[in-house]
Amino acid sequence: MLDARVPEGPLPEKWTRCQFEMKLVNPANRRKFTVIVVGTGLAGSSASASLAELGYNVKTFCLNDTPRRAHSIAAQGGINAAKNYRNDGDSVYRLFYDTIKGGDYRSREANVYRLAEISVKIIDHCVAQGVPFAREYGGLLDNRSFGGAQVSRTFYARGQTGQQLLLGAYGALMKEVKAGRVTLFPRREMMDLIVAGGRAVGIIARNLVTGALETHMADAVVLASGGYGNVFFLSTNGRSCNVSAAWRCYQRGAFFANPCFTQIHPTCIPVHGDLQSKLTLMSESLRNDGRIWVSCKPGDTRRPNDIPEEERYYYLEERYPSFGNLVPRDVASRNAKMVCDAGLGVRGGNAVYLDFRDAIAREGVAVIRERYGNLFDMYERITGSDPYKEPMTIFPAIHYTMGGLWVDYHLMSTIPGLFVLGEANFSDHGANRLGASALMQGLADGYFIIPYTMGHYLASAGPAKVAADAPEAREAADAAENRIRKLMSIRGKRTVNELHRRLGLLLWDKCGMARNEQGLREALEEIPAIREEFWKNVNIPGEPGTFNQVLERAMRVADFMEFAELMVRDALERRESCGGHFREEFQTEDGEALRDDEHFAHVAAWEYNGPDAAPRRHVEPLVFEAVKPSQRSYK
Amino acid sequence: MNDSFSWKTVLASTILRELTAAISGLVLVLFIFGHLAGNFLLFLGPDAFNGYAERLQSLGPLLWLARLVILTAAVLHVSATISLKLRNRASRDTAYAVTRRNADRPLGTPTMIYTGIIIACFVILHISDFTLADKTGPRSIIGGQSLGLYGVVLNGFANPLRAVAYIVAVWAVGLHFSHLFSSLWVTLGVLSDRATRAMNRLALAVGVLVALGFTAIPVFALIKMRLLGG
Amino acid sequence: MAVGTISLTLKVWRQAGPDQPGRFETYRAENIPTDVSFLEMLDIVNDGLEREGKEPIAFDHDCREGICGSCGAVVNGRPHGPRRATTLCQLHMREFRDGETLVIEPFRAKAFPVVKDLVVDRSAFDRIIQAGGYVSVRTGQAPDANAIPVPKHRAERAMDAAQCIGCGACVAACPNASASLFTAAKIVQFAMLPQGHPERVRRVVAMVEAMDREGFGSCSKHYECEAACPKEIKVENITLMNREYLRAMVRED
Repeated sequence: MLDARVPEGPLPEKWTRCQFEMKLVNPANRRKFTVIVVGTGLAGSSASASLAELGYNVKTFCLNDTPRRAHSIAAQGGINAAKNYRNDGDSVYRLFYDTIKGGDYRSREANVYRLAEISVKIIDHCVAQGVPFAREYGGLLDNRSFGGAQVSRTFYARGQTGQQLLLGAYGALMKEVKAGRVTLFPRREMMDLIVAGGRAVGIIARNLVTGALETHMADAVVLASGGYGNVFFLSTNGRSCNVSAAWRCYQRGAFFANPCFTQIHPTCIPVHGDLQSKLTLMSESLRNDGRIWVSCKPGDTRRPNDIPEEERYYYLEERYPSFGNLVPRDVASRNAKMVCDAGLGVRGGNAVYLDFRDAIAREGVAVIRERYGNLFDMYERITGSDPYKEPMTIFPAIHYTMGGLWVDYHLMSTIPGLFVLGEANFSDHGANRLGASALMQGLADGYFIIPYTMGHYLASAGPAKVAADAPEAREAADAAENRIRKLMSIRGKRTVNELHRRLGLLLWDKCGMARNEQGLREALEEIPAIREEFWKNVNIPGEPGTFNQVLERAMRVADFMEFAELMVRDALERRESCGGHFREEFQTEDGEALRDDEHFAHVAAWEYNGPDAAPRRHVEPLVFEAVKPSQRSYK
Repeated sequence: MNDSFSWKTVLASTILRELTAAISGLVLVLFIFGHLAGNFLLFLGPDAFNGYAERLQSLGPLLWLARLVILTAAVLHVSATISLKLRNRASRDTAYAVTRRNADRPLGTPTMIYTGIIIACFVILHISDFTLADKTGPRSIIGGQSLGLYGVVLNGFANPLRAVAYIVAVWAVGLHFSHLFSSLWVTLGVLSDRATRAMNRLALAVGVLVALGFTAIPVFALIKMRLLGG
Repeated sequence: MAVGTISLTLKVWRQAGPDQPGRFETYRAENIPTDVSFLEMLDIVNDGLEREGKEPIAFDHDCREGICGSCGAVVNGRPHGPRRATTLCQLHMREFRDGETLVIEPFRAKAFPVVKDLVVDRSAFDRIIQAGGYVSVRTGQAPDANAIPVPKHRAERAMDAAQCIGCGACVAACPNASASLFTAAKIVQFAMLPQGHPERVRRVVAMVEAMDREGFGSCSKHYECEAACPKEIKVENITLMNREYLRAMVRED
């Protein structure tokens, strides 16, 4: 029953064919259509700008005070594009192949091929916008190899590529605000999706300053609300990143795909204590020059520089001679966990060394400073330790979520008129995302896919013609108001953070870097208990009709409490190891992930069945015509 | 970017007002330097100094043109800086409980409004004191003989109160000038970062030099009139 | 990484809303580990307030890694606190001494009205960008990315300026509450790149006009903005903005 609407024809022609076959909206009619965009990260900003450029009337919502603060801004390393400017053998096909393989053969071929195809146009567009990418002395664009790719296809702007791309998209969005085609609604949180006549026709938003609930109607809704990494409490996500908008859409009928596919980034600053509020990523590019090691002696309390060379275990280099420190993220993370579980971590704890001693000796301090200076400074600011003199300590942390709302080739969810873009959808990264491809996907979706597929939808479905006082809209507004009233009336004894942390620790423990059936079953027992405690005993000071940051957090955490169960359920049902989803029962003799292509080469898409019934698991089989799935090997 | 270029917008902008303040300030400074150079003729005695004053007077229409330029510059300078000052004060309606200066920057900058007011008062005093003085009247007489403007100046500074008032005023000029010297390059958009920072470091020294130059005159007069008895 | 704890007295600006009067409230921050960040210290204080059923101190924050530009408050007269080139979220408590008193105020400017406590409305910055802080290119129009070479040093200078996170510390620090550094950074980014040149005259005039319209003060070269900027954006950008402005007056491209 899940129709992915993948066009017919050979892989390289699918998108071209699809573009031709899609219906168009007459330019004069476009302004009669209103599109709501939720979120202003790379996907949301670029979608808002591109749709407005076409002439649609766009209403854009974000929960920060300005669109420029969306968490895409924090991406450091770079953006991939199959330009082959280095003459090193890159091509659209190779980028496609690497992404499919990197995703451990759990993504849809047609989508990934289109992503690789579009990647080249993204760079063109961003350069034209004035994004100050790194350049060589000849004035042309510089590239680096990133995240284990064997070609140099990553474009970057120092360690702030996400920031620069987002500011480019934000500029485009501001241009359209000025032109009057985009109306901006900052400090708004989406509370619910309005579905009428079987299609998405609007949203309920809460004004975070006044607390007022607003009803906004439209002819289509674009959700670009990011990922759900914060379900783990500690993650590298921004503190306001949440699953609520996506979760509400799920409860209104959009299927949620592969929620157990979460990415653990190998190079983050380790947790320092119970009071920590978030984790900080150190760019993956550090692995290009840094060597990862631990002491051979469990619980070694010596300073790292006092540990002699022969007592250092360079575990990635030894286990994966051909990729070494540049193995994909899931592999690097899992190995860090394994050595730490064996007691070899820094002082026996959860951290490993990332050492630049050899790189500094080889290249000189100046070169290393030029490459990573801002990252080293950041590390020093946070930890108080100088990475030029002593190795960094790092540990994996939740960073990105590959799962998300299920979308077809048009990026439309199972609710007609609800499109899902960027990290919020599940589409392109399979079970593991490669470095420098999140930025690529967000912008591909927003700049180059949604402008076409939205036109096709609007031309086919026509105007929605649902008024803001329609019963469906009133019902959604009432539901939001009731939820707020219920939360505010609890006035219990626990803080929101305390309960969120409890949930997060449980998930990290049972549904983190490694999972097993028993742990997952335990989690399924414990999550409802935490959720019950939350609804019985959480305390939210202040009033709902004001700027109330505790209430904002409480509403997001309430949704995480429900979502967590779906994530664990999905992890339990996927009885194989693939990418970021490592089930301890399914591994090769030397501890590598063991896929089960016979039974699990599919997307699991969950359908909501009401608050009291278990969700239903649907399956979209993945057909591999171009690439034959094989055991991923980075040895 | 739908707005097209409009002179009305440009003329009302803060950047143009800053520029007006800087350029008019520059004109005034050039005048002051010329004035100072002329005043140094005091050291050469009454003939040189009075001769210079008379030559200036004999310029006729040219002198009036110069005065018009200076007056215009003064009016522009005062109106631009006052309007900016009022605007800048209004731009923060609640003051900080704790304020501190965190940047290294010339001393002149935060004191501009005070030194500016001192200078404005000084100019009025100065014009009524010397420019409008009766150059052959009792104030010009030293040793029973009218020495013209030279006499007026020397007699004037023989009064230590006036001399001290003048010295305070010229130090205000020096400080005021040091700000112009440091900020001009940013306002005009001319120098590189390094050169601008070099100017910043020089600014105070330049201001002190200017102040010392002007201080020399009342001190000279005091010494001559008080210690050497005219 | 020796971990100690310190205790502090906080005097924090509390203000219920834009039209409400504000005042300082005193709180104790007890046994704060020195390896937590400034915002985590506020979290700890807020946690205590929440447990007492009191409204916690409102402050903007999101990424907590110094890039989103959400956070910011004036600590003892310094926007983002005492450490140079560091946002409040990356400022760690090892920068403070045991027993210190910290006065924590919102970024103050007429153009940044207080929303609540330490949260201010910085939408004026969005309106400055709307006036021209972009290249007017439509999706789909771009030539090949390498069609127009850009000298490396100019790309680097564009990047230096483009690093601005829009936090507003420059405005907060400026005795005139001027937004010159913020505005200049965006103008200079595009002035350095050929892609920005077709619109450079309109851009500088429109953005400066927008900046003035929002009620920010003028630049009288106090250099406080530069000292407060967490991204170390230099006053040189204001020099270049002024140059662009003068250029706009004499040339019409």
